[in-house]
Amino acid sequence: MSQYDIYTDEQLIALLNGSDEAAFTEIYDRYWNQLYKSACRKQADKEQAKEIVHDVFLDIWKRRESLTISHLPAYLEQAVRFRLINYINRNKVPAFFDLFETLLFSPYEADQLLKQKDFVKLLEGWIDTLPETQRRIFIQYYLKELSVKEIAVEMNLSPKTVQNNLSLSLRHLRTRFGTILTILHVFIG
Amino acid sequence: MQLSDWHQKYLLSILKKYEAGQASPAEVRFVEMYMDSLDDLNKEVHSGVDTRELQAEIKERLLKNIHQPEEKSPEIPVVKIVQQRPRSSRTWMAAAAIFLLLAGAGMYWWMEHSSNVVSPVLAAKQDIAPGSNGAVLHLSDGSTLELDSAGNGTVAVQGQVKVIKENGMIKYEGSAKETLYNEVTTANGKQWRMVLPDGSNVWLNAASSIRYPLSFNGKERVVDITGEVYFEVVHNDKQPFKVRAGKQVIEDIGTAFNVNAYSDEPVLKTTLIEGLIRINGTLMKPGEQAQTNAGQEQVTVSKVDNAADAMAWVNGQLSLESNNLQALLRKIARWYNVDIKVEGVLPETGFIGMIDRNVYLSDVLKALTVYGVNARLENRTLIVSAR
Repeated sequence: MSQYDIYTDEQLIALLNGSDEAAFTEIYDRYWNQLYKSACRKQADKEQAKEIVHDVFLDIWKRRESLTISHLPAYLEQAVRFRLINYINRNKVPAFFDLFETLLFSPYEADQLLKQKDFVKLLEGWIDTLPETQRRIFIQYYLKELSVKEIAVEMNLSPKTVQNNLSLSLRHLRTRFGTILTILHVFIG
Repeated sequence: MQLSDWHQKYLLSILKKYEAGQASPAEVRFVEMYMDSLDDLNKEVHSGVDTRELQAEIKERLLKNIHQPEEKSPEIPVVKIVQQRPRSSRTWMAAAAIFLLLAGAGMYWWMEHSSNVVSPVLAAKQDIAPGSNGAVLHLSDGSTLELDSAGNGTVAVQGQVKVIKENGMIKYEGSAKETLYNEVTTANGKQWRMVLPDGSNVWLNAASSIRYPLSFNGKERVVDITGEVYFEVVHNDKQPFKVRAGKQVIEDIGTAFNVNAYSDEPVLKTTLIEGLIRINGTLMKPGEQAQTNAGQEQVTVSKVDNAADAMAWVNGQLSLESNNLQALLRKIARWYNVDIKVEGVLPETGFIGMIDRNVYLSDVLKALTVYGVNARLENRTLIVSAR
């Protein structure tokens, strides 16, 4: 569009701080497609991706005078993620949950989809978010392969409580995990 | 599918916290990892449209909005809609909204990564510890005994029956011929677990009681409760187990169930986790909940999405799952032994989520701010308002 394409990101941001609209459009031209793709990869549909790109750039313009950005691509990626979460929280991106469903309900399929290391990490990450009691029961039962009775003794809970906790919230995992749990076992160790 | 529904809600509750800058480090890590996985999974995504056209379309709208801001500006994530506030505070909110808009993602990053986030909740510089184990045992002779987690051994002898404290709970040994009653009561901020003379396990939540004979000698085993009690009953065909709570009579047929019968709750709820029970004659299946309005005998049985939720407290968790903020506040009041005062009109929103029951009150309040509820402490009174 202009000689602005020779400027570095840092130079463009400095110009943007001074409300230079041409610097703003150069940043847009340089990164819009990357942002658009980023939103699509995270299951936003085309309309949503358009909205997200628009909102992220509009936000940058509104805050142009106070922006301090050390690495523009990373900043923009984070902005897309934040905006996307805002969309999801307003119930707008149902497909976002598909991977989570697959992860928990068809671990074998998820294992095919993701690199094994990433899949295990993701599952581990999920386990880490569980409330303390549930996490401990989960790890002891599925990973350390303790019996319900042993867990009950160790955690000073009644066997039925342990059983209920397993059967009500994690029941579906047991039958489908098989080998994947062995892998997890190695990682959590 | 209900289980899938529960997990979707769970992930959504994490995302809500993430957006509000209140996710735990583990939750933040998971969200980031999840997004990374999606990026990886969909690496090959094509836009599938003429990118030049798309580029121009978005740019055109963007430039239009820059020169002449849209009437309906995009929603600002950090700020929640506030209902019915006095004008002055609304103006303040508007100013705050503009500030947050300006600060935007930068502010978000600061909130996420600063270890010393000053929550509005903590502004009062007070906090309240969670409840703990403890109860009072009322013996048959009218004397009382304080029970706490410390110490093991025989704490009382009544006729041939010994009361033994072990691992923070009590149990009975021996049997009595005459019918003598004991009662265990918990105050606000206390919980207690015990084994009844017949071997059945019971958990008492805060502000609850159970009255039972030292020996179950009759045709039935009958206990009376108030407040909230979770039962894991040892089944005995020849001597059915009965719980009397308000106007509900629960007959066990081999079972784990939770009875919520607080007198300050409008509805008495019994949730069946496992086995079979009959309530006022109506048979229930696992995963169902029986409700009776206070003071009435009419029972309504319905399937509940997440029966485990009813016994979350037994597992050391505080369930925030509720369609009713007032009920949630009463639960908090009992466990943290605080009074609740509501200011103005609270948002009518559903709540989901689970947190550990052994966290300080400020952590619970932080979780509530995600839903647009603000609260501050004045001594032991929690003042709650819309954010």
